[in-house]
Amino acid sequence: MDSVKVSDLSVTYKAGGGIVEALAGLSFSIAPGETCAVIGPSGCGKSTLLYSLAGLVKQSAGRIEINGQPLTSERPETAVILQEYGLFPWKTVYANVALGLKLRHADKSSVAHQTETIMRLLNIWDYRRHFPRQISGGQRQRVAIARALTLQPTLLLMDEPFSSLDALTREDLQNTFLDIWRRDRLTTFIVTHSVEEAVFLGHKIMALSDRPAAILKIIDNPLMGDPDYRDSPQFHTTCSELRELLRQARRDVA
Amino acid sequence: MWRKLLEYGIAIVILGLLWEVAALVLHTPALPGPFEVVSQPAILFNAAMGRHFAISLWRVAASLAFGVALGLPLGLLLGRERVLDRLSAPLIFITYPIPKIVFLPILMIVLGLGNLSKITLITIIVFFQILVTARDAARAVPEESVFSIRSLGAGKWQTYRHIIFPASLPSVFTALRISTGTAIAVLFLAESFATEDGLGYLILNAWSSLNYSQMFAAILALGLMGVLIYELLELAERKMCPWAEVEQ
Ligand SMILES: Nc1ncnc2c1ncn2[C@@H]1O[C@H](COP(=O)(O)OP(=O)(O)OP(=O)(O)O)[C@@H](O)[C@H]1O
Ligand SMILES: [Mg+2]
Repeated sequence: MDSVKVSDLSVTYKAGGGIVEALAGLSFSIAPGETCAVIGPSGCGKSTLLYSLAGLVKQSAGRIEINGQPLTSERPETAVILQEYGLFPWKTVYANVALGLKLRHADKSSVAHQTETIMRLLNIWDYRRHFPRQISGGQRQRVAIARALTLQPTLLLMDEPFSSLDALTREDLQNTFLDIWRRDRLTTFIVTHSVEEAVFLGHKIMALSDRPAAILKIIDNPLMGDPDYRDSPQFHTTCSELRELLRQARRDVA
Repeated sequence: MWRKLLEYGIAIVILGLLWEVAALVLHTPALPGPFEVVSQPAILFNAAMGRHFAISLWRVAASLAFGVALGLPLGLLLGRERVLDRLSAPLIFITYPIPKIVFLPILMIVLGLGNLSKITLITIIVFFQILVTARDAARAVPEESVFSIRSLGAGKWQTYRHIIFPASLPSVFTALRISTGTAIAVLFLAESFATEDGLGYLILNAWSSLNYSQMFAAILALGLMGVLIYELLELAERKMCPWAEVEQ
């Protein structure tokens, strides 16, 4: 699994004749097999951070190293699950999941085999002939996860993967993710708006300031992954700490 | 299938009634009633009509096919490649609004009076409509979709094949339907002089010899041709964009 080391990362966009500063000098490092939850106000630059880690957006300053190697473009070992538009509406559920393997010219029988295995694991095999529009939001999210996993990534980047789901479906998928993580120990970044989700899924919780995003604090959350964590007092203490941190940041801005 | 036939049946009855009423009210040989036309199978179904129909259909269908084959890839390319677009956009915007029918005389001189000049003319018109539509559709593809497939390891060609092309296809079909109308209208004009075949010729020829039943029979054939092309497009769209149907 991959280690990620970021130093002084800044990203600016050109837009409407001016420039938009999205990330302002982030530095952090994540150990192999760790999960990092990223939380912060809307529009602060969370997606931008993820795109940078994926090599999809060029950094304007700073350095990203994955396993000690500087990142210069997309790498095949990184899987990304985007906030929206992640699935292609013109492809069936099956074709969506199989696409990554197909693009890599894997041979037909191994594509079929791997795709089916992953789809059964995520309980979406029955919907293989449907189009994304014909299945529910939670099922769609499972498809997106399945597609990311087919490539056997060593770094998984997820942008608000569960945010549009109802509470029960969300918990369900969070548990599914944890099962997969326990099995594969993927290094994972997960962007979220939910304090509880951040604490439930992140070994490290990165709280970001308003745009341009800077790191307010990285909270260590060593108990993450414990099956009963959600009901433990430490869980609630950490949630309160994080919530207070975000509130404080908002007050400072106002 | 049966429902569709029924819908067409109803539409035909309504149009027939309107036609009949108009014929009764106007009471002129220039507008024979529908029964007068269809009760003469000899002028509707004969070898000459078949030949004219086939040649017109070929001209329109070939033009649509060539127009798409040229306009679609170029439009998609311009929609995605900034530099190429900057270079060619002014050229397109200047030439797009010119009524292409004005090129008919030139085309006839250069390419002769046969099929080639007509097909070329209609192809040019279809080409522009598809080009502009495909360009806009390719532009509108969300950057996230492109990110998403790039993160799966897709190269440029694969991005076009799996994202840009299918995402633009429904708009292209819409443009094709509009183009079909234009193409038939232009076909009529192109067949109206210096020609001895095609439904356009048949209509004008019947008109000048005051054979109004024959003229309306040819007009019916022209309408039938439109329906045929529309239905084929519909079929192709359902085959190629099954996901778009899901949306409705
Ligand atoms: N391609 C772009 N061009 C110009 N500006 C951009 C671009 N993408 C994002 N931005 C700007 O950069 C800032 C950060 O955007 P980003 O999408 O990273 O925020 P976010 O934290 O993911 O927001 P949300 O929580 O709403 O998803 C925003 O102000 C946004 O307007
Ligand atoms: Mg975002």
